[in-house]
Amino acid sequence: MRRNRLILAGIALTLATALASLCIGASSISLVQLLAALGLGRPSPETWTNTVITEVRLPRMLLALSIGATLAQCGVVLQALFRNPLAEPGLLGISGGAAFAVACALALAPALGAHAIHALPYALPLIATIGALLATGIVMALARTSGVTDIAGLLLAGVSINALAGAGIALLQTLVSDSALRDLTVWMYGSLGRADWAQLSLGLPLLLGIALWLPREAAALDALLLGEAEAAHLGVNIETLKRRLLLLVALATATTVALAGMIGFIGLIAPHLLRLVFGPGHRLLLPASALLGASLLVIADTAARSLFAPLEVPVGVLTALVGVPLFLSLLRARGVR
Amino acid sequence: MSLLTATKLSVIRSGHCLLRDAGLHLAAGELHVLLGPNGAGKSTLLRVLAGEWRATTGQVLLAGRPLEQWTPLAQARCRAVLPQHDPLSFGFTVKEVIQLGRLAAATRHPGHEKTLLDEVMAATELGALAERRYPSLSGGERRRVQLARVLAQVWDAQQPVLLLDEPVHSLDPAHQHRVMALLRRLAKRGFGIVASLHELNLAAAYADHISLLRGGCILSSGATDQVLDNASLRETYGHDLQFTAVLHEGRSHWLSHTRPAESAAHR
Repeated sequence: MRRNRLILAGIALTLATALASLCIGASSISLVQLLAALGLGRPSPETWTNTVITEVRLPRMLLALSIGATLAQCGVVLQALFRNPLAEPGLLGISGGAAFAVACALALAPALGAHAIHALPYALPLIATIGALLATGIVMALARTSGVTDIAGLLLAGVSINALAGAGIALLQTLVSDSALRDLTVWMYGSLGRADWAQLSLGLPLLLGIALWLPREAAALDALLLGEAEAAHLGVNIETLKRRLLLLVALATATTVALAGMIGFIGLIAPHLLRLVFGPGHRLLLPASALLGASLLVIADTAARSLFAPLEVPVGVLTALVGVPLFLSLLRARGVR
Repeated sequence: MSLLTATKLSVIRSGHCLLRDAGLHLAAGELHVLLGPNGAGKSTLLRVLAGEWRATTGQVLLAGRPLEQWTPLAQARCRAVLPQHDPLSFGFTVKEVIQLGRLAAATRHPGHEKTLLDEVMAATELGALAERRYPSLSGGERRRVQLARVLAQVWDAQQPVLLLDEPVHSLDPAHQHRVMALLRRLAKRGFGIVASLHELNLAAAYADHISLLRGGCILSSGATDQVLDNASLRETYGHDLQFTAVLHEGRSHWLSHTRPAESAAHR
């Protein structure tokens, strides 16, 4: 009962944030104009405003919602898997691996001919997933000593993978001076600026798929927080659960990277704030994190494109500005074990 | 009826023999205590009995069937395990932690669950802590909450088995006795319980059956009165110790002491 009411309130807040983001930007759009453009009010003669809404801000907002929700839920799952609130796709190098794979694909595609360039947008999520899985595998292997995943090792491995990915992307940028590569920095800092309806056709199914699948794992994720042996004694098949969840997180993170580059800290901030209020139970934490992550990314993206309009700040820069202090305070509070 | 039978268990890990030819037989209604020094193999034996580690040789039968033939879920419905260490650092409330024990339950009728939860909290005297956040508890309180979670798991099982690794670790003397008395009552209700302990007197007062372990071997195993004597205890814990039984109200209480010269040297 309480859970349903909280989730309904979260949905209402997210919708309000999303609608507000459609009105805010380089040019302000009134609520009346907005409703008209969405076909809910009197048809408006202002075709320019309509175009800004339906072709620019609406797909961008929807993409921000789906990516924010996905990243936040990936954060929740990783935090349960590693029993540590510091785990996050960006910090663990999963995003870094995906971004490097994307950069490699972008650099190689022109050499493979027109077909490759044409197919690239559809292949990117898959390529990014391979990069993400490789990075996850390496990080896991480095962080595991005699069967125990140690959080200090995990963060160090994540930092190393991220540094390596960053260096690799910078190298590609230097070597290949193709126009396709000029905006490779987008993948380093994240941006929703390339959002359009075609991208959404990838992003929205991802959000829905994950949002529908993960609640089935809520009880097992709760059990994981008790410890792996404890969860196994409660009847959870730990090995298959871990494999399934890591694959899911790698796939989801990779798709967000393919669509909008590396956006860090959403997966850290949203679950952390919610745990403070509602506790760590996943039945509420998963949907609530999805909603808060979605709202946070919409807010961050709206700020990114309006603060210095017409210039645009990479949205990953803004999420990092909020996320890093929180990360450091968490690190200090818990100590690195 | 044997709830749990282990025969000729040996465990070799990274070249070390942690358990050698250990056997154990647990009947319904029995409280079986494992005693022995650090590194004797108590936790290893419990892990193998729990299916957490696979024995290098030997076999474990749960209700007459080899563990390998059970699904993890079916095992969880009749056997609960309290490990020695507890890595939980997230802020569940005490009540939520105990409810996590019900994850494997076959049917979870709300009314039944509520009664069960109330019974477990009453038995473990945790009612007053129900809404407290787990990380804010003391070590002893956490131990009792984890025990309650384990009890909740098999509270309504047909032939429940409990495997408890140091259930009274970091508990004050009063709570040590309360927990042991609770285990005693549960055994009377038909639970089969294996628990490792470091407290000789708790074992002497509450156990039906004791196994003494040292260096991965079971030195002796039998009814409490037959196993506990100075010679066996010295064999188990080391010959530099002496054990004396003091009779108080018809019960033996065990004192352990070193030779006077050595005690003086320590001071």
